[in-house]
Amino acid sequence: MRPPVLKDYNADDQTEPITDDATPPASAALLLAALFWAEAPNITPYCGTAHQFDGLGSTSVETRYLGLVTPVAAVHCRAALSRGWTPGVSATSSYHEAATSDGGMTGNDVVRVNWYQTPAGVVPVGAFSGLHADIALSAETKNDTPSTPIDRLFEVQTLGAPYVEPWMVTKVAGFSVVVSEQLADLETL
Amino acid sequence: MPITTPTKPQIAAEFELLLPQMTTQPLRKALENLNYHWKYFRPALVSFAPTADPGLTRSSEYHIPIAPSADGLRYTFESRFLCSAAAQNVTVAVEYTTAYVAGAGSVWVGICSDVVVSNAVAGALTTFQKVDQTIPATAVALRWSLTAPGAGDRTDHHFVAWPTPAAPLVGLQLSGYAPFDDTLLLSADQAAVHTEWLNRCKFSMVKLLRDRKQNAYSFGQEYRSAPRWLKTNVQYWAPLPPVRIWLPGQSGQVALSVAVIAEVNAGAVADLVRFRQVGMDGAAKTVVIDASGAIEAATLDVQVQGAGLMAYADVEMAIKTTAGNTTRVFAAMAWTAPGS
Repeated sequence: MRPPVLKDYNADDQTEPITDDATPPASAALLLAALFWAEAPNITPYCGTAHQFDGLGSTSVETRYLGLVTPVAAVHCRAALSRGWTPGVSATSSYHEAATSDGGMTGNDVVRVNWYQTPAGVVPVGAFSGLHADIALSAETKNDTPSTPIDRLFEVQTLGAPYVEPWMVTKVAGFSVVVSEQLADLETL
Repeated sequence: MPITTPTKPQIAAEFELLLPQMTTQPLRKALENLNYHWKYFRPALVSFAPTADPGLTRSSEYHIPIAPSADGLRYTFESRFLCSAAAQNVTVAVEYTTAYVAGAGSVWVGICSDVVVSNAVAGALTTFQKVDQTIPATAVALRWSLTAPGAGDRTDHHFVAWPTPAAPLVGLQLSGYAPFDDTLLLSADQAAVHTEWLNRCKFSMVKLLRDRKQNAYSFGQEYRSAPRWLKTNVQYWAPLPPVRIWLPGQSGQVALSVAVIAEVNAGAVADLVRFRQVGMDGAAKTVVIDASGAIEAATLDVQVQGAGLMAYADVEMAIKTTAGNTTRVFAAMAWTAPGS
């Protein structure tokens, strides 16, 4: 079994060779160093792009469809949802909706992340350049067969090559996705 | 000599890591992973969700600064838009320029242009993919444009450009990457260890990590046509909500390469767009950028928060104006490369 080991690219001097010996010994340490350098970049998830856009200006712009490049060995993702708001009571629903094609974009498969509420329980109006703003993170709850729309991990395909996964999200001023779970045994990739 | 490119990462089995004997495997797997990496390392160059009016009955164009590969790679484009009427013709075009000029003076070179028939269901999403289009290494910006449908209206949702190169070629590439040619290890077991091969496992990977920059932040509005977000006579910083950039496998300080196209209607252009990191302890890193109408570049150093897969940095963009004047941003992009 080979679990994924995430490399810390900032902890390594990328300009130093693995060996500068013209006749290095056939040591396991050298081989493993070469092996991990050849494996790690292929399984490290890509940077999660922060998409900034107006999904709050009016009801007609609230739903956004995107196609996000999904890296190798991804299993589940989480999302960061940026929102802004102004004082006033929202006339629309008090939650974001988001989904992947792989997880399902209808009915109970849709992920719901709570919209902002004031301490008094007031649901404010969304605004792209409003007075207040924050970032909400979707849940790390794993449930691939929900019986109701809940806040949970997003499902993506686990493949040996990157691909574009269709996404949908509502009522945000910014949206980014992170691979939060990778394949447990890379030998099964 | 033939080059083998595997279709998925070659993962050495656990038993191959226990006291390996330096035979053909697992070194060959490691080296073949270089070839896999060339073909399948595909972080998005552009992942762009425009801020535009919904229900457009006009053509739109978006100018997007880019940082393409030095190897002149092929890229695949996907455009997502929605037409209110069924089966409408929309021409989707992608062009590039090697010299972006403020105003309308840029010379655009066509990459592709297609008449796309929108979804047969009115109001349903249309996804159009154009595969394997070359973006030259000298390109500094793309122009993504969509025409008005014959009936009804159009809402623009997303544009992505991601590298889809062919199998690696022999020899040293412009990025500094060199592939693995598989015939070298077809000799008998217990062949001599090659310094070159061991180091190539690292250097070729590093070269591609640095060359194929990963889109960290994107924002954009229609070029010139009534941008939704602008400020007039606002002489203090007016920010947009912060957004989170995910930086898996990174720690400490990371450099973000920022490129902005912004302009004013009149007056001075200096220091009217600001990027800064937010949501962290200590002094936030900040860069201010001119709204000159040209592509203005800067480097924002961010301090990585979190760790591992969940490492991140929250950033915020803001603009301000000079007295009585208007500032508007047409595009703001940022890229990162692991270890930068």
